[in-house]
Amino acid sequence: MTSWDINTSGTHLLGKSLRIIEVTESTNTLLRAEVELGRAEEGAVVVAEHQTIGRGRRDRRWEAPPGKALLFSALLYPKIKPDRTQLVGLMVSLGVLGGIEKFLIHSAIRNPQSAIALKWPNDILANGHKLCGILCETGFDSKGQQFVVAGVGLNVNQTEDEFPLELRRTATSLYIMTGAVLPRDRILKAILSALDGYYERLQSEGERWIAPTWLDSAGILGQRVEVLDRDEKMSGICDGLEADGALRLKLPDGTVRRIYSGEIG
Amino acid sequence: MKISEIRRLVKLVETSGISELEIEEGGARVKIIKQVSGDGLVLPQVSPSAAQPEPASPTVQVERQDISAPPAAPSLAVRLVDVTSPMVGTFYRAPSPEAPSYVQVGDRIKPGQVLCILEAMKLMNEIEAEVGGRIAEIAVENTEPVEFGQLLFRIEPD
Repeated sequence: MTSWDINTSGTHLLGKSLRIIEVTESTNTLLRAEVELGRAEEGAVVVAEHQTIGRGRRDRRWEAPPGKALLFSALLYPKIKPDRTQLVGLMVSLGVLGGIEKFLIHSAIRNPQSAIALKWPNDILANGHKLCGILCETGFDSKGQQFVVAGVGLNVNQTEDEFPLELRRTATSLYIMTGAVLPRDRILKAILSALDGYYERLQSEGERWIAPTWLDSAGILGQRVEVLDRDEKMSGICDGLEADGALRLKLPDGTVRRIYSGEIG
Repeated sequence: MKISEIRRLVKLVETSGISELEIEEGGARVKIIKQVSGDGLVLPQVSPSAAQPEPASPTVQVERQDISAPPAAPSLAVRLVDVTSPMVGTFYRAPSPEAPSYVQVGDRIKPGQVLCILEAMKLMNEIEAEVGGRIAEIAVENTEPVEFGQLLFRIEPD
């Protein structure tokens, strides 16, 4: 097992309680079970070297060889209205993106040819390929309080051969992007630090800043986007985000569709 | 007493300010009691009086069978608790496509039990029951989109 050198003293809440686990089904499942039993506190983070049943959205699996990806879940208690909870996913993607960028800049290994970008609602791409996926789940703890478990899977040191065949054209890693084997503990620390700042802002100011900040960071306003919503494929121009995070898609006939569940092509 | 006459009397009780009416005619006695249900509906209830001195004539017996139907009305008036969607999203009846549904119609549920998942923007929201009871209706098909405030379940509370 890789030794993890994590000092989270720079963060306010996130990672104050941090555990590294060799193998688990899924860090989200583990952390949720702990919360429901009353054994995890706000800001708790669980990191796994390997997930046996890593999950993506619905039936999609998240696969990575042991010790290569950064896989963790964080426990949040966002002060947010129920119909705005999905903004937490956007906020987490902002934190992960901010952490990766900060780490790369500090390490002076950023490859200027590579562009890291947000993809609605909360994926992170590098050169158009998937670098990171985020899956948030809500539940109720032993006291009946609603919580959010935010699961992050970031491809760090995988080589191209280490991705399943069907993902090689669509996935990438920081190693593929930079050519360097990178320390996952330092990346995690940078992410937790960035996310901690956003989380503190959410708790103190509310959620209004999340959608505009995300839109600004993603830079997709006015860009052409393809959306697959169920079996319907739509092409239009991004007309911004709703306050609740929904993507506003302006169709050729001038109408605007609000997208909540679609996939961006 | 003819059924049409009893109907007329039920109507009379329903629309009048009186809450109870008892009539004896030709050896048969009919008692009509107005009840106010939980949702404010006024439901007249007709019951043949038990204090009948003589056996009823066959015609009255038939009438009694007919008029014994209205007491079923109060069960229709059981107040169902609506569970509505707190957000716009996609409705999932199970935690994953292979997994069994969280609940089926007729299931007994406890307060706090998970009923479904609503997904919006890759955030999986568990929706819990606020009351215990029985699932009376599931108003949305699996994987269908739902709007804010849309009816998802009806629960017959304990």
